[in-house]
Amino acid sequence: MASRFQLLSRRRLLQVTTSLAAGCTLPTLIPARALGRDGAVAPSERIVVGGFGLGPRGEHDLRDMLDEPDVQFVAICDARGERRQAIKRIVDTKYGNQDCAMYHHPLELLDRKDIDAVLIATGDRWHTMASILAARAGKDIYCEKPCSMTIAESRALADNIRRHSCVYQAGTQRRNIGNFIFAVELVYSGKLGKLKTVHANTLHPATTHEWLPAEPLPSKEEVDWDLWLGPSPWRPYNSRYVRGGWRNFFDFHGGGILEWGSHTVDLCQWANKADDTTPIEYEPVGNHVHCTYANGVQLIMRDTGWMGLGTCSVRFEGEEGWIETGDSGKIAVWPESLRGEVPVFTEPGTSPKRHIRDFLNCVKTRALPASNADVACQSHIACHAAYIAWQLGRKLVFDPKKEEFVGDDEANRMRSRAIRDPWHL
Amino acid sequence: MKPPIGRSRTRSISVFASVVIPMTLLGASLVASSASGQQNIYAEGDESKLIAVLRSADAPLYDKVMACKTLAVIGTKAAVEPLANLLNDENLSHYARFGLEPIPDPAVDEALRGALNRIQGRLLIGVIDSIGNRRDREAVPQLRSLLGHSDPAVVEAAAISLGRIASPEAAEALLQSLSDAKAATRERAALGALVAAERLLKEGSSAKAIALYDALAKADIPAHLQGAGLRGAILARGAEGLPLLTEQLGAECQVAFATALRAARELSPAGDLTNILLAQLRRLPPDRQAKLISVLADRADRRALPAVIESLSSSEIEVRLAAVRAMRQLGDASVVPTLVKVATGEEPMVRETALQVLRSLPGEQVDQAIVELLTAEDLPTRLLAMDLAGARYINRAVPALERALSSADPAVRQAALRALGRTVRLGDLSILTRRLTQRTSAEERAALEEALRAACPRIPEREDCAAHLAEVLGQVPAETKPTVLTLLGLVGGPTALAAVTKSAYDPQESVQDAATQVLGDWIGTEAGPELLKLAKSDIADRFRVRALRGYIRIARQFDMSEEERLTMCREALAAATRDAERRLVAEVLGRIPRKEALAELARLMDQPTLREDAAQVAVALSEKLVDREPSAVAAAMEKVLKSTGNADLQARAKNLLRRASR
Repeated sequence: MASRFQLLSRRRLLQVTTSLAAGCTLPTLIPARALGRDGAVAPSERIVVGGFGLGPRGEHDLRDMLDEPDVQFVAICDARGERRQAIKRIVDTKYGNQDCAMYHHPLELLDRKDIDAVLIATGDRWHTMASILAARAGKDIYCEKPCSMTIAESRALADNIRRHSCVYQAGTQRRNIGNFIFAVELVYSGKLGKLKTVHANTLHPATTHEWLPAEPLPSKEEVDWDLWLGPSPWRPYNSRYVRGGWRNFFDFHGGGILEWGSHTVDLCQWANKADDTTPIEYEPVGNHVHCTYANGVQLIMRDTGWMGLGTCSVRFEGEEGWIETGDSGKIAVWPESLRGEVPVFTEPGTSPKRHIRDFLNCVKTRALPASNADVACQSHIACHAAYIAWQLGRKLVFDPKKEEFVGDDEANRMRSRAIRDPWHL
Repeated sequence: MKPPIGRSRTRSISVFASVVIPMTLLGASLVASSASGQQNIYAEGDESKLIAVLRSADAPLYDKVMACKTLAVIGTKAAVEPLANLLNDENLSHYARFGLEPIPDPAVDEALRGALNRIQGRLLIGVIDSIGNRRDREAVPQLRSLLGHSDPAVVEAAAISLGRIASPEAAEALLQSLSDAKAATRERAALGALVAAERLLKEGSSAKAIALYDALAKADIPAHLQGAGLRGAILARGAEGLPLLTEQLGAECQVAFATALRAARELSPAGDLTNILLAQLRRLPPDRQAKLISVLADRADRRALPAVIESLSSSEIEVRLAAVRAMRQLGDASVVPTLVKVATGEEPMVRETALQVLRSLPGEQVDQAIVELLTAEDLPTRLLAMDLAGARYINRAVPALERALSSADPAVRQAALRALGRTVRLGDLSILTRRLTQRTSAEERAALEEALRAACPRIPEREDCAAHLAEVLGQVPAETKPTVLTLLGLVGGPTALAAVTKSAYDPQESVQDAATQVLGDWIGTEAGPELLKLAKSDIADRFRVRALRGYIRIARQFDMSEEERLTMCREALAAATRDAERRLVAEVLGRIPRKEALAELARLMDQPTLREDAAQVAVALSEKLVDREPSAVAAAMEKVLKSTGNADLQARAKNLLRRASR
């Protein structure tokens, strides 16, 4: 039987579907009494936000957040001095003051009682840990994807968010982008017939355990290497990691399935009404992984064979038709009789704007955002399980209730990784 | 003595040769690994050799690290002691836990408990965490004593680990610490108590869980942690938690109120919660009323509809806003007139919200109500209805919208055009296309083109639509042809392809330009042969290059057999006149896991300007192919070694040569 939270999640799903299929979103939840004469939002109605590790994507999120009239961004925490300064410049320029505070250590920022919510866009290795620290400090969280490094982290994340009643939005913004919502809605409408196969655009799965050559450790002010590593294993410093070159290293990155699958597998889960579960079988086929849900629907994670509708494509196939769409907003359908039902979408799949607004509205109402921790947890578990199958090079059977592989000790041992001290989940 | 870091060239010894440096301590790689191939680093792991690495004083740090990582997956009781010996090693303590945590043998628990007595500082926190992850009940007395530790970080780790274990003794320890004299201890104990309560509830000990939650709700701890306890206390009681929830709705504390809002959403639909919430609604101040309305909406219980409609007349704008938003979940056709009134009203924010709700409110009857408004007397309502007809794709609105095109008011004509773009079907398409030949204002022209871009791809009878557009293409002046060609590209299919291809050879450069652009972006492989013909034709160079790039894009992007992709690559190489396109082909060849693709890359390495790029792709492809096609890989890597000066590439090529010769 579905849990209360899962029921809530499903209700939320239906609301999002019906409200955004027409490409619209509800405006800012700011009561007029909160607006001053100059149209600015009164302090009591503002959501005070701090940021963790805002690189290029985080900066994109931040700029969209700063455009929201009810957001007041007050602090940045980063292990890199250069990034702290860069974010402070953006924020101070926006507000015309010098008020954006800078912190090295996450707990310093989280100790601030005036901060309501945090924007987390560190490297993947920090996402779960920073989110859990924020939850324990009573903050709401917008966190870039992927949200976790392992199956165990995915579970810990969802449990902590629920336990602390936080509003959590994973940065899987395609749940708030019209063409993807339409694709899911078309499946739900039954016009494709019984759902048979869902396809998720993923990248090449591999990561490497390699270490880059050691370089002299910079000053803590420049890069606090211990903090940058955070919960991930220690290795010698190399400047390439901290300048964005951490991807594809096993200790810092979940691989190509998770990189895009956190978006596309997530959408497939949604289309299959599987937000509260995962596939039960995972079979690596070359660089692809073929999965099967308990309801018989196949999930194909693949990096080739797409129609060219943009990055992060998905394809949903039923007994009577199919739909494919991607980040361009374009949609392909079959049979052709369905073309008449396809609305026009122009917003790119990479835009976090609606997603951020959804988050902010939920911070105020305490409702559940589209990419809440429970749905993110399940889609991430599916990606991690697929990557484990791919690494081991064999078919795996998974029990979604127990969140363990059936009869495969090695695979089960790969569900978690010890967290580096002094951090703990 | 600390082991040397594995990248050290002076030692040049690493068992994990394929990822670091190409020599091994023990003469053979203990694990197979590859940066881009399928990597089961555990398949060939030999526990005894890994243990030897851990025990070795000379083994590089990297090798010890990899031994720990591998033992995490394949280690047995035999690995416990050598791993545990590293728990107080500053560099390797975490890796030791990495290896130990997943090993199921109880010897791990014993080793970790032993370490508690001899380790201090942050390493101690790590060990406590590992004990919690393993839920070792025998560690409870030691963890309990650590709740009195002077370092709050140690207390926190101990509390959370006790929470994970959640034995009666662990729960009791946490309960007691909630009333500790030190605030820091109480706060950390609360984190553990929340974990413990959750686990107890899951395991069926609801009375014990409720006791913990109640204690948390009353403890002298930060409000957000009290709130978390309160949420648990409400939900753990199920229907019996309703009075507690109701109490929080009226509480002064904002955290308590927020907790009630969340709990009200999480409680299952059973019970009379909706009635309880409705009874509270009017007693609350406006800002809380608004938030409660959003809860009622999320619960989607239509019994709330009358009260929400009543809230539309509230004197407080935030209540009215919340009520309008709630209509999306609770409303139906009966609320359309009310929402239309709001959507044409004075308050911008409420107006915009009502508009959005009207655009997305489901139901055929809602559509009918909107069609009827297309003939409303007042202009704002008519304009609103046109917007809604378009946003909702209502085909039966077409006759009224067509009539609106004759309006003297340009705003009405533009609104009608936009709405027609989303509502016309094949039979109505000429309403729009015939206007392509009419002179009009720039704004109206933009509205028309937007409408056609919306309409054409949606028409189910694709070939008929393409035929109609092909006919229009022949009728419109040259400056309008790019617009029609773009539309044909959006429609796709054989008829559209034929029309666009013909235009690619048009004597007018602007038409050729538009047609080759459309072909270059064509969705589907059917444009491939036409693009290749264009690439080999005598049209202007820039269009030939564009065609060839479009052809290569198809080879790269679309689903086809390896044989077909290989053929396309060969054709593209034959047609290419510049290195830029040859590089693009090389990248596509790297996606074809066949020795023939590798051979093509080897041939590209013969060209000095392409040597490095081709070698790069060849190495990456070989890493996928080496087990299946060792001799082809060996031949290609020999060539790579002669072609590249890139040290990293050379190292990978040498490694592949070794693997190929096994």
